[in-house]
Amino acid sequence: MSETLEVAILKSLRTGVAEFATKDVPTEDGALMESDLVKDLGCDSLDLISLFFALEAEHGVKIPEEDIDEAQLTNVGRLVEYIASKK
Amino acid sequence: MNVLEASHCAIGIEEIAVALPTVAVDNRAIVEKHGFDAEFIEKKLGIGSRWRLSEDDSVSAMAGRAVDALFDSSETSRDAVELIVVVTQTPDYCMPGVATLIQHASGLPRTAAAFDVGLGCSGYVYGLAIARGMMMAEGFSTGVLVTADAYSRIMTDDDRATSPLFGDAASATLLSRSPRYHLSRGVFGSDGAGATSLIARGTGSKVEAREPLFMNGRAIYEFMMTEAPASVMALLEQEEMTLDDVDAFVFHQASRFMLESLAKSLKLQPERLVVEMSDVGNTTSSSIPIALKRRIIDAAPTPPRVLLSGFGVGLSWASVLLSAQSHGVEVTNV
Repeated sequence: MSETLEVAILKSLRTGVAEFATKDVPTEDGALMESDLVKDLGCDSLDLISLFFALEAEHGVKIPEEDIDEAQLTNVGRLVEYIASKK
Repeated sequence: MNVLEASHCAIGIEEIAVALPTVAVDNRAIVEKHGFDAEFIEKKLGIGSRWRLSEDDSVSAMAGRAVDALFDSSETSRDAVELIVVVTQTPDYCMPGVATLIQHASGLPRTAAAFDVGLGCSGYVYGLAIARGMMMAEGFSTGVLVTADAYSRIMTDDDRATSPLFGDAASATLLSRSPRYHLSRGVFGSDGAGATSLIARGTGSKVEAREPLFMNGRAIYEFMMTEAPASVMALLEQEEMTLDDVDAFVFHQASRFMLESLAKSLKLQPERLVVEMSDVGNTTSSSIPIALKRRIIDAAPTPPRVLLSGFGVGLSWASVLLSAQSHGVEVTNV
């Protein structure tokens, strides 16, 4: 897993999150990586469905439903690492 | 084959009527039960209230009221009906079907062909094609396509995924050879691999425990976002048209979120997307005819070209293009 890959994934995730977030999205990447999509950024369940669909399509990975809970993928950092590990 | 040249355009939609049950369920009870944010249901799902059948009501009775309303508002006589097609997945009985019950209860001719079609959210578009095809093949001039479902009978209010979403409703569409809208050939699809994404187990002949309606919202979203745009584009290619040639898009009214996601995927301007579900919810096979009646048939002026696309349980999907009679459509009667 390369740092460049993670940066690219975070960039696409930032674009997606900006569309749905009802709270301020941190401009600093480190702060965004520590954010929770639901608790910190205000995404709801439908936003997550749409966001995961877009990420799957963009990065060519599959994110199974069970992994979302088990790997705590509403955390931005964990989600970025998860996608990077699947590529 | 272009819709403007197609001989099968002869039969189309003349009138639509809608029937709703009497029990209104607003968002308050759902918000209290499930802890939803009221704004989420109203603005994100696009639903302010929905209707449920009362205990002493039935799908066939509701469907019959739609048929009665249809003939109350039409100059066509019930005696002219030669075909009754009912799209439903919640019939009164396993057998007989709803179509024959309506034939009798609504005083339609005993000479009419009558049968049910077991489809959900794609059912209206399928039903149009089935009815049109049989009317052409048999030389019929007048048919009635009914949609009627009561998901309230197969779901539980305890389910956060389905109870805010679905509403009961029925519609009746008069198909004739002097229509307001002609029909193109359809585009159809099905994928049983996704059958368990939206399923009511234990409600048929398979021996298993009865369970409330189950919906995997994420799987349905992915299905819709994958198949519906492809179906729309395939239809337009078949009809030698582009998205810009269509004046209004009436998709299955799954939820406002779904509809807006679809519109975004197709890059449709908001004014061409019909969203008409705030007081009825997702009414499955009736969602397209309800929106069509309220926003297209009753509109002045009526938009010349309207694209319908239904997608859902099965999984199943279908799209068809409507062209207004007054829009220079050349028809060869068959």
